[in-house]
Amino acid sequence: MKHINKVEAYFDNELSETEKQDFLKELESNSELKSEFDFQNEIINGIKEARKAELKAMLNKVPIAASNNSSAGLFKILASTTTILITGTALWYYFNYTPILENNNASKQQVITTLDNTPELVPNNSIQGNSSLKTEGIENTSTSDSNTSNKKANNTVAHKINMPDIPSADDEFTTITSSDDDLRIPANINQTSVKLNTKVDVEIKIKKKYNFHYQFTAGKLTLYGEFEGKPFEVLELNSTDNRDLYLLYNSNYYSITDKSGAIAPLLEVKDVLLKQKLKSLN
Amino acid sequence: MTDKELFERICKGDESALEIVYQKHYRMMMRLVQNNSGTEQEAKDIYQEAVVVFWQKAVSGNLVLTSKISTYIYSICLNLWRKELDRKKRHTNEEHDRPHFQQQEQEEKVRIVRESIDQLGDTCKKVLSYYYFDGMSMQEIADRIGFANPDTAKTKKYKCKKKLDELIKSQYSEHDFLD
Repeated sequence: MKHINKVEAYFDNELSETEKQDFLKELESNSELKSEFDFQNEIINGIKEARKAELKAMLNKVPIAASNNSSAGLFKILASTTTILITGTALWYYFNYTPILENNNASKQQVITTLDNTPELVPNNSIQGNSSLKTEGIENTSTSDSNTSNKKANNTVAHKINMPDIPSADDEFTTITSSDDDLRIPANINQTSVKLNTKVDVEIKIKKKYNFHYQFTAGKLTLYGEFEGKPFEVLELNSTDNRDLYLLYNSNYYSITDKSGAIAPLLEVKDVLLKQKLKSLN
Repeated sequence: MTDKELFERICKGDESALEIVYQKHYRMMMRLVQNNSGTEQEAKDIYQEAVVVFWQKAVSGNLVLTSKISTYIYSICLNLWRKELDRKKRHTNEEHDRPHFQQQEQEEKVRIVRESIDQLGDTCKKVLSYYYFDGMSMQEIADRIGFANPDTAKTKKYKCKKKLDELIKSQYSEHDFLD
């Protein structure tokens, strides 16, 4: 039997188990047979590799995107979009509504301060859109008074929603842009600005000698009198060269114009135009 | 289409059924390799290699499927990838130390064999592929290609192989590869 025939019979799996063992034994000692075996082995491996390459080329052409996994891809896109939307919304709320929360906290602080009878009611850095510098309430406030407070709180919220540019803590002056009825600038206060966030310490003292008086010195306002447990509010009206304080108490306005440090009586504002102006601020 | 139906078609040499299987489990097999330090290309190579092994075993009649096709291919992928990782670890330096001459000679021989196969006619390539790679019987080859009977397939196979041997031998002689 020629070497080629033996080798082909081996690769064609035509040898019996004994013949196969004999063949492998002879392969170790016969160099010519070994040479023919190696040659045939390379050819057959080449044929196998060529077929593999052909099958792989066929598989490479299979469109994968059309598989049933496309729904998974769609799901991923939807999930990503939802995540972006949620994150965006959360960030928007964070940056737009945090000041309002601060405002609410400030309101709470006002009530607490009132109960403590501590006159420092407005936090230094809480920039509010309303015109009041300080609001003082008392626990046993009447219903109408609490309604007024709520109304103010609502106004404050309305301000915030309509003021996308939140002023920084360093902004000292802000032009008023609201009234009780709407958020437009009232015609009669076009040239007036209200100083917001002014730190005016208020202290209440009871002295028989000075009932319903005030003293303003070094940025501190001292009110003398019992005020019958009703809330009051200090308003500041600024024009180009003046800074006037007014006290709103019991629906009346009182001027705090004497800043010499002397104790002076609280005099009610009679000027109709000024009252209207102050009312429009409130 | 069920696994059973697909498997039956593949056993009969239906390549379109193999394409369906390939498409069906592509993502899962790619993830297997890619989640285990493999690149996308490596994952694709391993998966295709596994699918080809599955094909070869199914067509040759040497496979009795007792599990899902995906489970079987998955296990092949896993073994192939483990081997590849071992090979990478072992051969980082050895590959570089191997003599370039031997390596180049081997690569040249592979090229000659490949080009010689390409020179064969389409029928010859099919007969030899079906016989040596797919492990088909002469009857199956005759059925597949459309020969009158298995003897015709056998004669064709003999002639094609002889032609290929001669082509390669002449090339080897030119390159002084024959002892």
